[in-house]
Amino acid sequence: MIEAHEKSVCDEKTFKMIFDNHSEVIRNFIYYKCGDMQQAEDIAQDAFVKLWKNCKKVVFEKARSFVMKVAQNAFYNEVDHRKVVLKYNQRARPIQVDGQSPEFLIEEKEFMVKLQRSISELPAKQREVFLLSRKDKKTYREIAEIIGLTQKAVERRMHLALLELREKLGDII
Amino acid sequence: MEKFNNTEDFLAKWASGDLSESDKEAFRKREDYKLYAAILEGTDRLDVPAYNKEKNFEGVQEKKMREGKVVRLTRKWPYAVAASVALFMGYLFFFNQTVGHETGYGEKLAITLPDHSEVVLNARSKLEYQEKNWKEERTLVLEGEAYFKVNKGSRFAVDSENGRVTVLGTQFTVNSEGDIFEIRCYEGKVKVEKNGLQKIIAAGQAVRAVDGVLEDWKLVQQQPSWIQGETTFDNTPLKQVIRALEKQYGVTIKLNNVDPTQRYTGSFTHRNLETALRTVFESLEITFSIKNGNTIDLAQE
Repeated sequence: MIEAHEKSVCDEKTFKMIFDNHSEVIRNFIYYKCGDMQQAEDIAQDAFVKLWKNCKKVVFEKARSFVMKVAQNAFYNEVDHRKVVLKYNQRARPIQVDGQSPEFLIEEKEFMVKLQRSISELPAKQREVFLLSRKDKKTYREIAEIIGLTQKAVERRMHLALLELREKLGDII
Repeated sequence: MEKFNNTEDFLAKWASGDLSESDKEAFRKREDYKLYAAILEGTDRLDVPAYNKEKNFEGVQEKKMREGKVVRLTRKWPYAVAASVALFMGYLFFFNQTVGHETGYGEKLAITLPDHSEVVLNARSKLEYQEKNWKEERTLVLEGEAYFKVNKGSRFAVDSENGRVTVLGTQFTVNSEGDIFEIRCYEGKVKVEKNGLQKIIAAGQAVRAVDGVLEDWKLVQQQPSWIQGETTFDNTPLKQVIRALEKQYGVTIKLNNVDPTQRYTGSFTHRNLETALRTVFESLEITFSIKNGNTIDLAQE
């Protein structure tokens, strides 16, 4: 095999492709940690700038984990944490009304509010696994790669996150 | 539910649909099963704030440029949504090694000169220089607007039809087009010559030619704002502001009864035409209407 065919990160098109494929999940990952979208997008952007600067040293296959590492390190240096509160999207899926009493609708609303709060109160390590899995539809193996853990450890955190949420929401239903 | 209590990943496996049928069946019989199901379903209805990929990529590109990454002369530098195109004038290159770069409407282009001095060309601008003997004779010809970050070395000169700007190791912008001639100095010193008039300006100062006179003013910013997607004016004749708008957005602006010599202080964004027009003209109490998407009619009472 001839090595010259390998993709170079220094190539603008390749760089854009890496950005298109991975920037959103990196930004979300940081957001799930800190709850500040502006900060998350800044950190993700800076990580890609760093990738560009080091494009000669980073091989294509390692580009994603490089950016992820840089973003995580940048995050640890920041101290400003906020609460992660995801918006309740009522329009996305209209509640099925047939046969459901108004009381049920109120209960549902109440449940959603508590769910939002419970997620925001999860320990960051559980929250990032839970949301990467449920919102970004990443498999446990992919999450393990992103965070730099074993798949086993990721599954443990997911299990704990669900136990924790059930605990907090327990008195509702 | 032995497994539920004795494994550390039971719920993870359940959520990802990896439980065996019998485990799933057993889990369903638990009284809190409904609650677990509601947690997953409720989470599905929560939204992660929308992601604007293009805007974020633009952010990356701007930061790349700001950090002054050295760009090879032949490399295309995609900026904003439209990729800027570096034009190599092939035939000139072969005969006398003149290198040319040009930008279209709304484009910006970062160029690294042979001595690693840097230039950022603003929209609708053109830059030419001789690659041969560059170290001895650092002279560029500019039409339009550019920001220069000059490395120390021999005399560095920018020629334009309006006059000549000479420097030694400094950062400055030159805007020369039609009868517009404006120089802003961000670091070091710059000598401006025009029709026998001469003026030396230092960091934080700027000078422009208005009706044959060189007038100067003080700069507020450390760097030209257009590099970061905004153009700023300080008591600037309106016709110059209008030309900048036209070049940034590729539109034609008709003055009609509006006085082009009135002055404007403020800035406009490069991101949205209507916002840009509103910021400039509303403060001057000029009304505007957009026709066919790219012709703008002005009127003033």
